[in-house]
Amino acid sequence: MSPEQARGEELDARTDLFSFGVVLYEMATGRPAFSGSTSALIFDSILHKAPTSPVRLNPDLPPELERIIDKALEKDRDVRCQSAAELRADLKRLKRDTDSGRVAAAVLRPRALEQAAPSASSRRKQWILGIAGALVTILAATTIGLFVSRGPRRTKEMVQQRLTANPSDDPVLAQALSPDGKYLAFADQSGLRLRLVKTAETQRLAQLEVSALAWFSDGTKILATAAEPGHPPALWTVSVLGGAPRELRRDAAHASVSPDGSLVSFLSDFTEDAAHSIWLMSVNGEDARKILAAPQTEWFTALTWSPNGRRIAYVRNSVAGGKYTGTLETSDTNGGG
Amino acid sequence: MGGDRTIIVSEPNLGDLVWLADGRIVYSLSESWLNYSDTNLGQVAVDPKTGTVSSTDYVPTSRRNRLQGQGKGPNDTRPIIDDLLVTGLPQIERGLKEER
Repeated sequence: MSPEQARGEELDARTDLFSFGVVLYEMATGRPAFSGSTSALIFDSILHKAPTSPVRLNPDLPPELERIIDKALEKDRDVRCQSAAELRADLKRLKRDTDSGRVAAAVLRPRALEQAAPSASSRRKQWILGIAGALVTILAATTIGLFVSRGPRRTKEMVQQRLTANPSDDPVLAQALSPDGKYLAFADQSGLRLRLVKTAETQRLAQLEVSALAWFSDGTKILATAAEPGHPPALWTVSVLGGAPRELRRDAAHASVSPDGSLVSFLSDFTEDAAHSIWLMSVNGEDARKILAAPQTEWFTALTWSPNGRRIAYVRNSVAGGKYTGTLETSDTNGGG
Repeated sequence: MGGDRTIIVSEPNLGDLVWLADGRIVYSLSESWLNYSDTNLGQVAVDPKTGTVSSTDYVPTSRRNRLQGQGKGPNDTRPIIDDLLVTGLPQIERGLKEER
């Protein structure tokens, strides 16, 4: 991950060159360029710290390779390698100079020492030639992959980007990304807030004690589960355009809007904090029907729609002999009536 | 009451879940009922038509994560999921699937 990616900025091909620099560094030194015991420490290292000099970790490296790696790992992308072609040219030049002995001469020890150990010098040169050749090959392949192929990018590994910065005594209680991914609705002790992900600009939407959030599919309204002490939770609609929240349904929580935007699933029939049924209704709160019910010894918690809107997935909980059991189940939505 | 039911996973401390467009159900799984700080994400691929498991995998994350509520990112309608929301309490983080 590049510094600009860690900051959540818009990315371009120079991000990939930074990642390539990370690979070069590890190939050359055997150690990761940026490390830490937690993601936060790794992020801090990427954003603020320079990696240990590669030559210090591997004295056999030519200084020119260190310069190339440093250039690829520049935190400011404007002074980083600007293109894969530029990086490839640097690596090819290193390989050529190593072939001709120019770089090797720069890193060799005094002649007397070299003469005493000719085999070591030879091995070093072979090593430099090998790594430079391999890197040029890898970069050529990377270049082809990044700039020639226009196919969809394949995704492989999860990385994380922090979106909020609440103190530990005021944690985020609920959150949901807008359908277009531009806004984060989240709730803490101060109520429901709306944050523009790109800039972190935030505005307060409503003073509700929110425990769950979902967006309507048009991205203009939010479904909030909120409760007052001693009362069962209720579903509220909150417009991102302003205005007072509107109570949609009492004794209802953990709502989820169907993929086609026409239905809302929710938990209901609360006894204390436990929901004993799952319901569907239209997005305006009408035509509610129960589709699943659990006995008093069981209760439902999580709830979500399948991507085709035909099924729901939920967690059914029970306790027996002091031992909790949970099952993740799915059901079609034809139950009840 | 209820339609065609299928049981996917049985675990003592299941948390929130999302059903992604590629068929995976991603769920939170705590080590203990009261300890949300020791939570990871599990995933299982489920056929959305039949509700049957097509493949099982475990812990796409290797650190403390949990889903909270509608933890699905905006790209759930695309074949490849680019992000979903996770939280390492008390913060919200967006998990981005990134090419390496």
